[in-house]
Amino acid sequence: MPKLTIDGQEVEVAPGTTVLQACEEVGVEIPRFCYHERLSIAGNCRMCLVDMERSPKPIASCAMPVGEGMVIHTNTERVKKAREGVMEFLLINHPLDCPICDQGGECDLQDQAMAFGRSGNRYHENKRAVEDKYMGPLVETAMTRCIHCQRCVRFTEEVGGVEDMGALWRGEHTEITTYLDKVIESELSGNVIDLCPVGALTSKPYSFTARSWELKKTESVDVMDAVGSNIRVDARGNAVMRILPRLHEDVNEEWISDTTRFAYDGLKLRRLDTPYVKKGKSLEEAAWGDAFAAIKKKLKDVKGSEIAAVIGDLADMESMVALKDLLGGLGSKRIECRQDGTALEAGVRASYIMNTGIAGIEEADFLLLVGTNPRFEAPLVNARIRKATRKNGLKVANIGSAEDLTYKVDEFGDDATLLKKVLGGRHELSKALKAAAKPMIIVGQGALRRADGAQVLKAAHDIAEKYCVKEGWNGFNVLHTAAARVGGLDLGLTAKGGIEAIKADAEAGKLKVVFLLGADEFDTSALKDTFVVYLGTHGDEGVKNADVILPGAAYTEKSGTYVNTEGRVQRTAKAVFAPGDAREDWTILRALADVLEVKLGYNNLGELRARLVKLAPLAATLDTLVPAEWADFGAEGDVAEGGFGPAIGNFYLTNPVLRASKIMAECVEIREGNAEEATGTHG
Amino acid sequence: MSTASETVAFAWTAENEAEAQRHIAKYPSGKQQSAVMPLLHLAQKQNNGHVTQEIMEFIADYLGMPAIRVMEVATFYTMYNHKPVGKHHVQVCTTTPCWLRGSDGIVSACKKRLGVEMGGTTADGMFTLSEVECAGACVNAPVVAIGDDYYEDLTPESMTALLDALAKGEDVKPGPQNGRQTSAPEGGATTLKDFIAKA
Amino acid sequence: MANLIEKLFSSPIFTWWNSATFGTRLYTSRKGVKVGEDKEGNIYYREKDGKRRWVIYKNGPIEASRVPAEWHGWLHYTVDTPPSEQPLPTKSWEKDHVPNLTGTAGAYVPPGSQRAGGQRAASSSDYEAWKP
Repeated sequence: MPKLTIDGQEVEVAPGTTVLQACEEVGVEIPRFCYHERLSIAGNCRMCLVDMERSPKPIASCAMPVGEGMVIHTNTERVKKAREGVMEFLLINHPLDCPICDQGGECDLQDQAMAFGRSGNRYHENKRAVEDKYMGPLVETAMTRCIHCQRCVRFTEEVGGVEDMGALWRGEHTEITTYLDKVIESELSGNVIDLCPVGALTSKPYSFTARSWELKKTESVDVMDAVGSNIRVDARGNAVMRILPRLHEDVNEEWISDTTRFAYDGLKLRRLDTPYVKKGKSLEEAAWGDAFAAIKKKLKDVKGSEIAAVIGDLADMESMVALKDLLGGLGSKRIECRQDGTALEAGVRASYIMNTGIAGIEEADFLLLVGTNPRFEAPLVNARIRKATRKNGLKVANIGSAEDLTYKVDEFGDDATLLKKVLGGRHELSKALKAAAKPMIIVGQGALRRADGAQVLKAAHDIAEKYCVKEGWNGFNVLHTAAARVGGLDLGLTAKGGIEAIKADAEAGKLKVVFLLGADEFDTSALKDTFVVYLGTHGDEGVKNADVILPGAAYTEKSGTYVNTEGRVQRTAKAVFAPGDAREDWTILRALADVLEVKLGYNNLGELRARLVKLAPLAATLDTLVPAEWADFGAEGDVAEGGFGPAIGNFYLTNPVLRASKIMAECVEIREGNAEEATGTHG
Repeated sequence: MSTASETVAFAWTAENEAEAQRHIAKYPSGKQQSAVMPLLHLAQKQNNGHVTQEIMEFIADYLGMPAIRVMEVATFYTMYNHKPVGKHHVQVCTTTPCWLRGSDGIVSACKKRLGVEMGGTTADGMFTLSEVECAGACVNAPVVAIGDDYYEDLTPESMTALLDALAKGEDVKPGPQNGRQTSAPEGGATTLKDFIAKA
Repeated sequence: MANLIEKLFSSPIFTWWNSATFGTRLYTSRKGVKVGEDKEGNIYYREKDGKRRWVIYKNGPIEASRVPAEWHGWLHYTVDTPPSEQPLPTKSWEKDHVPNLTGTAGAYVPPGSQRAGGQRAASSSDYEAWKP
């Protein structure tokens, strides 16, 4: 452990630490542009110069590893002059257009020029100008502002795993660009906006819509996928203006996927803002009372066994509890949260969560993917796997269709029977699993959606039990695609036969009334002759056959509890109000219960949460991972030959918010050139 | 950058293929990307003096690296030309030592003889004139590089004569143009004269 | 009763805001020398010795902002020659004098106000509702 002195304070740090990191440890702030904790060191901005005793000139602290007995000064006249000099050079070519720059107010260059720069400029010649580059529908460029820190280049290469960006030419003529001005082919491309220390790369959808200081910032959680990325929702008035990532080392680090970042315009389009009741053949606007009355009238001579409910992918646990209790009061227990028809069972928690945890991927040394494409199903899990492959040499093998996951994957073919072979112990994979100290297996929803999903689950369980479950290590993981799924399973909201049985019963006329809690990911045409009450946010698949529509609140408009794919309980916060007459989902169900004369036993969110904790005790453990007990699950039986289907359709169109979003439609159009076709409902 | 019309697929000649493999063999296996610079140079030579988008993509494929990385290298070094150049690429050094020894005269002689400005190519496609930073032959300043050879100790007159000869397609002798032996002192030895006389 | 109040309030004996009061009229007829008239028909007077200057409002209520700028100058002793004798030079871009419209139908209302037709400018908080 080298010991060094920084501004008179002695500090001992781990070997390999850089001087800059050591300075941060003692609370000395070093200005920087190119250095970023999660990217490789470039050392090209020179802003982090500090004085080292017995060194003839200042050193770049970000690139200098600490040495025993170093004496560092960060507040000498020479350091001050060096910083001023570097800042002056940076500002030679940087335009002084802060008033019209989107980065204004949250710009590293602006802040550091104030803190460390000179008050004047001695450069009187012309500034250079650079043509703006095209980087797709998400990233706006103003390349004249670029200071060539190359953070974006390093990010796309190292974290994103796509080599699309680069620095062309040299010296004063350097230009950052994507190859031939193409779109950045990464699901994490939006993060270059946050990384850019100046206003060269800014958000295209957000451009010129708001200033950072007029936004109300609400810390919340994302629901676009099952990762549960921590986000900050920036709102002005009653509009979400943008969504930014929030640091959570164990979940999303400091990145978020493009769907998370840019879905917000979908919150303002195709919204349900008033109740509707079907009169004759068409839906007509109605008052809340009339809508409730219509439901009451229908339910008057319907038996409990003729009622069912389907939970959507974006539902919070509170509304699930309210719906469960409401249906209970009506005499039905048939609530289904697996609208994609996967074979997961609610009983054993270890059978449906990522037991290893997302951060746990970094500990693993072997990873077997089964029927999953994490790049699209959970981009941040994929980023974590890529990080582990780069940093720890994690080996990745895949059973399933071969896709470009941005890292090296050993493909073993798309055949489910391979699982049995691996279990047999003679397969190459069995040996690899056995040899690994901390092997992992990730089972995707695509693998569990097959007709023999339960058998696939059992096979995966057996493999995990044989190789992956050890003392202090559970390598069995299920990767979810829906934010509501784990919460629904925690509440035990599964019905016998699943979604297919509900569809069949509805078609056979055995079901009279079906409640849809934002369920848009299955084909509702089977419910054509059933009385459908749709409670949701967007006019999507679910409203097609609805008889009563109750407008609910989206994830930015309510405080809801969600459990991510690793079983972490997190809560969203209300950033804005739901539009028009829409209300928070649980309050709607509470009011409906009153009309239907069902007693729910809670009148406010606190009481409802108490009830939630009673039903699912783990919901009280906010933001902690509770290890799940290992047990037997799945169903014995043969696994049929054949491949696994994809778990999700188009990455940019996985839920009603995304499907309503024009930004996402543009992303699809750029990639496929057929936005018209793709904006339909994809499962 | 290449123009859109040049869409002819690029491929090594058999000779250059072997040469390319020779360069790649210099580096440990798996590190074949290190050969990007010699390969670009080789391809530039094969393509009459300039690299195109197709060449960069071809080399990227050939070495198994992203095209943007090849492009970064090819645009970083000024020795790679991105526009077609004439048969003879006249690169006049104008850095301080050459300038002190009269490179301004060389430049104006070239401009006068070729009738083009810096960076220009003559109408017959024979010459491209460009200005380069230190060619590394200061001892024989002023110096001009034409193709692969250096022409040293130039005067405006010898420069014009050189270009005349090249234009006619005559053979010219690289090296000092004033009769000096490599970089030996001008006007013969200045020290150890006795020693030389005895020997 | 209401009728009586209405009558009183329209009579010049009890009100001073509809037309000049009785006293002012008397004073004007005794001492006033008419100087000129403005476009609205208000008549400007001065005393014979020129010490006092005043205005009798016509064709409208007694409202100080109805005095146009040029007469305002004369009335407040900024200039001594009345504009009827020597009109102020006018520029092509000058607008006609408009009295204070507060409290009248012509008063300013911001765009988006219900009184301005209720059509407000688009806001970032707007949303597009789904319609069946």
